[in-house]
Amino acid sequence: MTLRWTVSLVLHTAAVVFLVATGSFFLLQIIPGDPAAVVAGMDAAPATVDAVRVQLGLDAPWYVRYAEWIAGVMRGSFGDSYVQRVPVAQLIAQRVPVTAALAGLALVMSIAAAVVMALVSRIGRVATVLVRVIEYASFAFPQFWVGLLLLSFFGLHLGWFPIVRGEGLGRLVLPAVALSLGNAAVLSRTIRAGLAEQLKSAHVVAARSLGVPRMRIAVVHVLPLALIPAVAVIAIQAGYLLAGAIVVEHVFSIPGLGRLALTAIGQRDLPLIQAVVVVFGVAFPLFSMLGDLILGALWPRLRQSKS
Amino acid sequence: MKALRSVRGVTVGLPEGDRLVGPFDMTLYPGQVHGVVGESGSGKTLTLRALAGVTPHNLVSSWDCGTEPAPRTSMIFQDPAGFFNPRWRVDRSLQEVLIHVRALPRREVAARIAELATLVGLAPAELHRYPFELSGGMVQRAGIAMALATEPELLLADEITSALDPELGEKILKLLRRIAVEQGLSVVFVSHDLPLVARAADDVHVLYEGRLVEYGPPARVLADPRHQYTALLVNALPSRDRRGELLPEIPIPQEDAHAPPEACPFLPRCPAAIDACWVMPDWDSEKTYRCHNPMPKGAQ
Repeated sequence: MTLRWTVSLVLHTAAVVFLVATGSFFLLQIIPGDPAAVVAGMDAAPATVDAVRVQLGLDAPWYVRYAEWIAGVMRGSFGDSYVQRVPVAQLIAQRVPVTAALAGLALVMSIAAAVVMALVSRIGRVATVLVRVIEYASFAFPQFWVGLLLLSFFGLHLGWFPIVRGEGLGRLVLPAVALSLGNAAVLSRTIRAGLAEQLKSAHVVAARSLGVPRMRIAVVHVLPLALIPAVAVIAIQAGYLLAGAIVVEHVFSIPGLGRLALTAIGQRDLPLIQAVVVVFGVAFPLFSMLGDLILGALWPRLRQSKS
Repeated sequence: MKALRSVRGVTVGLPEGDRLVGPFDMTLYPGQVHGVVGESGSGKTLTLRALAGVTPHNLVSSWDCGTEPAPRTSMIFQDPAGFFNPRWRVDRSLQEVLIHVRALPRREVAARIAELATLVGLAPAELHRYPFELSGGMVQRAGIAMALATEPELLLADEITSALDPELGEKILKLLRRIAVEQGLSVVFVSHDLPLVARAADDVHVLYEGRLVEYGPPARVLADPRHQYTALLVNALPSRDRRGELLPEIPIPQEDAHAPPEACPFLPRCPAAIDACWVMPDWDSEKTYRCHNPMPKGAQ
């Protein structure tokens, strides 16, 4: 199982890398703006711009540049940044830990919030309505707006969290909250559906008839089963959290991958943009495989049918 | 024999007041198996769930035992594999009940699980498996072990042999009888299979649309049914004497031909209905049937 799984992971990831690398290359070919002009500067003479174009290799036909780009990606080399003149891989490596910490914190927060909301919704009808309202609200409010709200209230008004530059996890708390809200709502819905489904099942009726305490049935017997369908959702959400980080990092001025991507787009720094897109793209199959592993741990029958 | 409990006024109904089951009484004796037989939808499972205290949440139920406390109950369910939490090995489920319901100290749990395994004819190692790894018969035995873990006075068995082949079903029933006698507990055994109930039980309750229509020892009910429904039910059983004949049918009523609540529920299908049947009769003097126009004694 392990070998097949590993091979499948590698093939999956390679396919995704290829597709994403291809997609990002061609999309960037059709966006307006001339990278050479941006690099050369606003007032550069046409001759200078042409010189820069040759220097960056942008004068070669598209298929040559595409072949070079794909060959580089497959070797793990993304080329040099047009603007900063350092290897793109190095720039990304500096930013990955920041974004990973932010997305990881947001993921943990959204799972915790979703589990609490789903359990609370089982208390009674009023609680269910309340949880639903919170779900809709947190799903409906855009991240940047929630982010600004959090900043002005907890940062400016109460002064609990740093607004601009902080150190450690503290500076990531507010952005992680902003990032996790929408996910928590979707997840809470999934877990609630799982709980409702499981609470009707025969083994729950059996446990109740035998006198197992209600709270214990909900948390120990049923919750892990209700989380099984949620794992697949979490795996997909983990990828979207990275994407969401672009907006949230901008609002909170966090120097992560998202900010790097935005800056790169502004500067038409093609190699950097393409590389960030590939990194985001690779995250999806990785998280989905991780989800499969966790599912196997939660669900003995799945483990058995695979072995 | 002194009764374990006299259960009185068993009813299950909608919260608005419509009655689905009962009211009826049942006298339960220690060491005895009490059969409840009836067709699908007759209220067998609802009755058991009411007795087990797990009435479906959209219904209400009531019953009492007079001045005595309600008996400790355990229920065994129709789908034996569904009885267990699919994430746990069977002994983990047993441990859950022993620790969190019986409050057994942890160090005694393993010994008690081994004891329960032996009681139902399983090896303790067989309980250290997931429910889906056990055969139908094994998992039903495990289900009985689970029900016994709470040390009940009353065991409620809901169609526990339906998912098993006839031979295995007989084995499980024998096991249940033996345990009832050994442990001195009452068993209520519910099934749609009249001959099976007759073989396994000490007495038979015939349920029709939630009403008890006939009661008696199995031999008498099979040989000399008095209520028109029971008579038709017995008559519809295959028999060696009538080899080659088509089995008689119990007439099916027109759609939605429900009797009014005060009438005998069998009225729309009864071949011998008379005017009096628009009011549900009381029990006869010997408490064996509720019918205005019963089969004559010894008619079959």
